[in-house]
Amino acid sequence: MKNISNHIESEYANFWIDGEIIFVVYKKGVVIDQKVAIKIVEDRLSLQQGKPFLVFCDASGIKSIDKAARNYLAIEGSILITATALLVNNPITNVMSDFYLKTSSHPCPIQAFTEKKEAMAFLKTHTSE
Amino acid sequence: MLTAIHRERLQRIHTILVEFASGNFLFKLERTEMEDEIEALVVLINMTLEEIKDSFLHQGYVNLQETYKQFIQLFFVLNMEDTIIAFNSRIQQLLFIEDKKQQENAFSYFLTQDSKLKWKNFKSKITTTKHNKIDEFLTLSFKTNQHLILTTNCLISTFLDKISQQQRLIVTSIEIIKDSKERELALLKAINLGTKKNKVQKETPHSSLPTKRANLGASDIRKIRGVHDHIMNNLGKPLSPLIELAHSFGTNEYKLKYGFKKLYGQTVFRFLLHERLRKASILIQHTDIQLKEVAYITGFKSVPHFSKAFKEKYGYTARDLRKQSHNDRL
Repeated sequence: MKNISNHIESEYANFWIDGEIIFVVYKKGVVIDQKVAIKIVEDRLSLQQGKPFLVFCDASGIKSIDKAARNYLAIEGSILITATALLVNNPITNVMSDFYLKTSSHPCPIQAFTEKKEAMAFLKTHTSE
Repeated sequence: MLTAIHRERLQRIHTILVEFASGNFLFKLERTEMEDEIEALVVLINMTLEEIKDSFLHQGYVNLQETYKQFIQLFFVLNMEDTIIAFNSRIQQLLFIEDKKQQENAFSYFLTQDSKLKWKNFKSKITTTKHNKIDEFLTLSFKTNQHLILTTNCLISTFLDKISQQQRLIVTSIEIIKDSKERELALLKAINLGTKKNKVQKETPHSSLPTKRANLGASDIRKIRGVHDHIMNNLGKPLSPLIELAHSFGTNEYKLKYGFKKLYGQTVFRFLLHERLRKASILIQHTDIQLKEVAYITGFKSVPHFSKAFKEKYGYTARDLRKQSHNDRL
């Protein structure tokens, strides 16, 4: 794992901070179970250093995610997040995000987009200014 | 026109839906590398089955008046070369092993690609360890003849076969189901009750059952879920008294109290406390936010109150957890 000030790269994703937004980009073909979910939350929080952030999450690389992982990401995974924009751009991640948004309860605003521009515009409506 | 491969994939979807319709939630569909609409449907079916299967178990977990049976789902005895020496008869049904020839296959023959690798790693680990007694859990996915997937948490143990003086492996998995006998009796009771509906109402023979019970309809459940979401979304804020909470969600205190316990297995305030502590635990492990601040963010009125509750739930103090997590990060 590389950790250069505001960038982390793990086996599963890349994380970096730009202004008020933390970018999480999953790697291609990632299979998320609870163990992986815990690692992802841990990496994100270590980068955030206790400060809340908006999250831009490119989920299009995810191959599958199980129930235990969905539960973990929906609850523990929402800690120190103001709002999340999910980027999905293939039939598989589309279906996963629909399912995730509908079946899990989310403590902070979360929405799925197929275009990065729209996702960023959504996050902009949640900035602190 | 559908190509042969797509037809085959659709055929598997049909098979699993039929299994599903007949009450079998054990299987999953095997994933491919494709990213098309059929694959999206496969993902959706797998996730839906997972949710449904778990909600059955959840019911079992909360409802203490029910009885449940655990029974062996899979049981394999293997030699160290992976040859199957014995297995329980249910495997024949579960994995659809039909002919004798298949029974002679190596154990890993029945595993998915991912699990084959996992099993190989596990085997090399146990052959190199010095401990001669192994007792370890491993989640393995088995492949059926119809290309459905059965994922289960297996206990792998080793023992010494005294007759042959050779090491053997046992792979077992356990399934929890509702005691069907109990279910049949309940049905019988319900039917009898139904036929006696117009007669004088008798007391139930089980004196331990509560005499007064709120009937939860779909709309009550929706309201209680609303309260649940409200709690989850406002862990840091003080919670209104139950009566106010109930009214603001359009229900009454009794229904909320009873219904919440029934749906989530604990009282509203215990649930709130546990969720607050769960959040606190993550903040302690993965951030440097001061414990005082953690207590405040997670809705505790005072640090001593937080510390006491934390210790009570986890058996270690918040301070110890912070110390440990800090050491791990170094």
